[in-house]
Amino acid sequence: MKVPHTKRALRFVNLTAAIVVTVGILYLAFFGAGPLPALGPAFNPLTGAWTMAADAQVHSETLDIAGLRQPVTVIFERDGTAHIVAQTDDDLFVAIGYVQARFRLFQMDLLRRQGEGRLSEVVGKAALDSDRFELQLGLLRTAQQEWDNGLGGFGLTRRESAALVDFSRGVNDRIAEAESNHTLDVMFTLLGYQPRPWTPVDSLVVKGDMTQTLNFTDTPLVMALLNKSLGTDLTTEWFPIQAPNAQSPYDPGPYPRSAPVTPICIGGALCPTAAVSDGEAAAASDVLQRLAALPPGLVATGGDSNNWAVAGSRSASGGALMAGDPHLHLTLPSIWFQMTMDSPGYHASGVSIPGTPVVLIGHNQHVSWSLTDAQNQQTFYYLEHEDKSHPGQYEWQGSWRAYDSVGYDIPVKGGATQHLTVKLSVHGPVITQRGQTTSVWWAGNLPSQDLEVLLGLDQASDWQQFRDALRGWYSPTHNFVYADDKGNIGMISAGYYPQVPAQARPWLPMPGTGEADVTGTIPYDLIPQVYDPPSGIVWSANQRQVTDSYPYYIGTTSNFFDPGYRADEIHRVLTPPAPACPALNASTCGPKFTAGDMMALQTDTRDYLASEIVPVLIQSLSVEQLSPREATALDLLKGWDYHMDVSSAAATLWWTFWQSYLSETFDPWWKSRHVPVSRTESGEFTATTQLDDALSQDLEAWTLGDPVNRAFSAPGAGERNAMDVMRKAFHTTVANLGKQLGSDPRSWTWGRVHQRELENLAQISGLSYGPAPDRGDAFTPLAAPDFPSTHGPSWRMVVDWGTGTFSGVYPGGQSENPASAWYTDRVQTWWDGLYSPMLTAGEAATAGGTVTWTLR
Amino acid sequence: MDPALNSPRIPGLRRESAGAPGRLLRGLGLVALVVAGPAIVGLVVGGWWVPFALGLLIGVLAARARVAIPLGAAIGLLAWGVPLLIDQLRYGIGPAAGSLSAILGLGRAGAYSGALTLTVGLLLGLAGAWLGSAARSVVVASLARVDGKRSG
Repeated sequence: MKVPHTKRALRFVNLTAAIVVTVGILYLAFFGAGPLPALGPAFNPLTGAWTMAADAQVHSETLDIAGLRQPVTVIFERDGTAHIVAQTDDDLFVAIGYVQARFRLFQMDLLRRQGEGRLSEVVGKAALDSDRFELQLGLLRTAQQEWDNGLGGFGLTRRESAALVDFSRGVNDRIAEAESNHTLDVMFTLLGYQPRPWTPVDSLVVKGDMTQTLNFTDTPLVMALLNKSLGTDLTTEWFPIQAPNAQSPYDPGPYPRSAPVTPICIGGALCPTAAVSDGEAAAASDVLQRLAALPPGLVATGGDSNNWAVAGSRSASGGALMAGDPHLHLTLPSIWFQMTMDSPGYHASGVSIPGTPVVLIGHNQHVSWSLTDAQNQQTFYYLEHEDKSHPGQYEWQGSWRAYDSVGYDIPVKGGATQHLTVKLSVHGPVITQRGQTTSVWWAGNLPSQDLEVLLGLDQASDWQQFRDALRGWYSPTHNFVYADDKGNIGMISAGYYPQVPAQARPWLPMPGTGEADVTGTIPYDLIPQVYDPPSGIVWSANQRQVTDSYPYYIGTTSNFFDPGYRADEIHRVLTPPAPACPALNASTCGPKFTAGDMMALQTDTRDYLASEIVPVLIQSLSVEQLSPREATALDLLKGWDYHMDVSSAAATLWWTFWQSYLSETFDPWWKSRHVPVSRTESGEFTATTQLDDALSQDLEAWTLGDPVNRAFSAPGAGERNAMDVMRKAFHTTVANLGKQLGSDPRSWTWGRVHQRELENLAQISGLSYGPAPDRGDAFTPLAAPDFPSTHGPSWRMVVDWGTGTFSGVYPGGQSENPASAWYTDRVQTWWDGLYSPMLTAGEAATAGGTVTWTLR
Repeated sequence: MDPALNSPRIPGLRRESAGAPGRLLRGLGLVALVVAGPAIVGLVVGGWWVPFALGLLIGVLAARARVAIPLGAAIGLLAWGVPLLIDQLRYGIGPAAGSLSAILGLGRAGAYSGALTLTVGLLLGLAGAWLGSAARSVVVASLARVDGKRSG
């Protein structure tokens, strides 16, 4: 029978259509498209993303872990806090690696990829700038040097190496297990890659990430541009070494004088500085623009952490009290993983950074500690002297040297592999060759034994051991607060304080020809520190730790030292009223503090700067003709208790006023002098230094003590004083808020404008928490800078050695799996200012709702 | 004569007879369930494409596209849907579904990711069966033409 042509044609059309549709479906299934992952493997209900449902179930079981010598017990509290009980120290670290990777493997992989310049390999060219920068800066080179017993004999100790090897083994046990039973984190599945084995170098890089976030700065570049535009006189006056406002240094001296000393000029101002050349300015602009294009968090932009301790003599329980809340980028999952290390050599409890095998903040049986960033300058820029007659070389100490170089291949997902060559001078990596070849010296690039230090802290039993352990700590410089079971307290700002010769100007890019090279660090015994002070309290909140009589250079106000308002508030609360305790020796008088008082202070929303400035503002408005709306606003300020609470309209008025006051004072200068560095974090391009912190100190000091400072008489503004500018700022504030929030000032509550958000680490907004109205601001002990605020107390811990109670909480949960009950289960507790008890392994074992693993 | 009548068949899949649609559906359902088993086994070892391959096979073997294509789609749907159903019964997949939707930028409604997953399974089975069936009809017709020329 003959088949009609049309029917035959239809068959071919049908086949063609089937082929086209099939190819389309299979393409999507194999490769995905746009934001869609490869649909086949990603959505396979048995091995793809859906396995997160099964992975979220944690139950008691026995697990076979390669490499363990003895069985290890892991007890999980109801909230996932892990108590790891091992019979040998080696097994402890294997188990820590396994447990961290079980709950945070994707986070760990991201952290190492960030530091090793390998993000592009999994997310594509969007991460190429970040990868190039990281490889240029050199976290990976430093970690490899540390592991290879590299430069200067600063190799790792045997204990450190063993811990890292064991930890890596545990992580790799988990990777192998997850690959075999298809329980890798959902993000691996959706991004379509599998984690490579973990190595000790990876852990060292993760530690380097934190160092970079907290200590790598661009301030000398910013200062160079300020010098070039604002002029040396104003830059010197507005960004001095010593803050013009009265801060609360925890180490008031007296200080021994000792060489080498970088001089601080009279009054804490910067020493006279030569003009910045066009080439230097171009180099600074180039680097700043590149830094501004990087993802947030790669450059230190400020500090917002608190810690303090109260001696046993001043506590209700008779034992020392300690509180610590490091303020970091708040992410889901959190940067912290809570655990207890329990083995023959270690009995430490607290929080660790996933990817590292130690408790970074916590306590053991005898001592407790927490840390804040010390903020001193650890980054220096050097202008390399080059000459056309010596191509590829730079002059150093009178001779010409060839740059070293190292090459990297950067795999890019969906693109060609990129090659990067990094040039190295004696100072460090060349960071730009535009305008003026500039290299960077950064303390974070010094091979160190920081993990050994942390292991030492975990084992310390008194101040001497604690302080001795910290002797080897380099970077980032931290204010380590200390309290022990004998009622003692202390604080030491451990780390490297690089010093340069007296004629050098470290707050600017310096000549690279040798005369301004780093010569050493402040001797350990002379760095800021106190132990059992007569006042019975120690405290830090990123403020400058010392007074202007301290003989060493540690950085300028623009080097992101905090303005000091949190430190002032903490000091105010912890210092008894003057009539009761006229002398420093306050240990026998004043209030007796409790752990509850420490918790209340950690969630204190009182704005110290507001308490100083608002009365002056009210006074300045006493002679001003006000509109009814302005009069209402003024009444709100008059009745305000300076707390930045969600329901407070005065809080909104205050914050908006302060920003307006800063703008009225400084913007005319910025405009008239064409300053290319943004005063805040937005503008022509983003300066990663928060200049407003330094300018806030100036404005505070002038308002309270120098109201006719020339800064108020800005170009084009005529002759003005502080009162004039305050009044104008107040009018602007009320007008602007009226436009934004309506006509009734009583409805301008802080919660309407100020929110907080816990951001998903992979920037998936649907997996973030918030934004939701929240209290606090950048100056309150309960820090909540920015709008919405994504930084803040990443971990709150309070210790009462008298009652033997330890409490802590962090926003988030132990698991990175968004389907897990442990993804956000701690958020509300944290948000409400509440705490969870930090149990011992024994207490956890008898608590209800626990899950126990036996690893063997 | 319809060349399809000379083609090999899947046992149990006969041409539908008038008045027995219920029996046909039951038969198809039974076959789908039976074939979905191996498909699920394939998924367990990472073979997400197994429903496509089985659909292709059914398309090649089944005499009629109107039987093969729904059958392939049903196998894909069952292979991808039954494991989700089991997970739902064991511990609930609501949080996972919501998270997956969020990751895909679809909000927190888990129904979207669930529907997307089932659609992927369904399309894989359907596409395999359609392709197999279309290829079969062309090949069988070509063979019939050749036979016709020889005999003619």
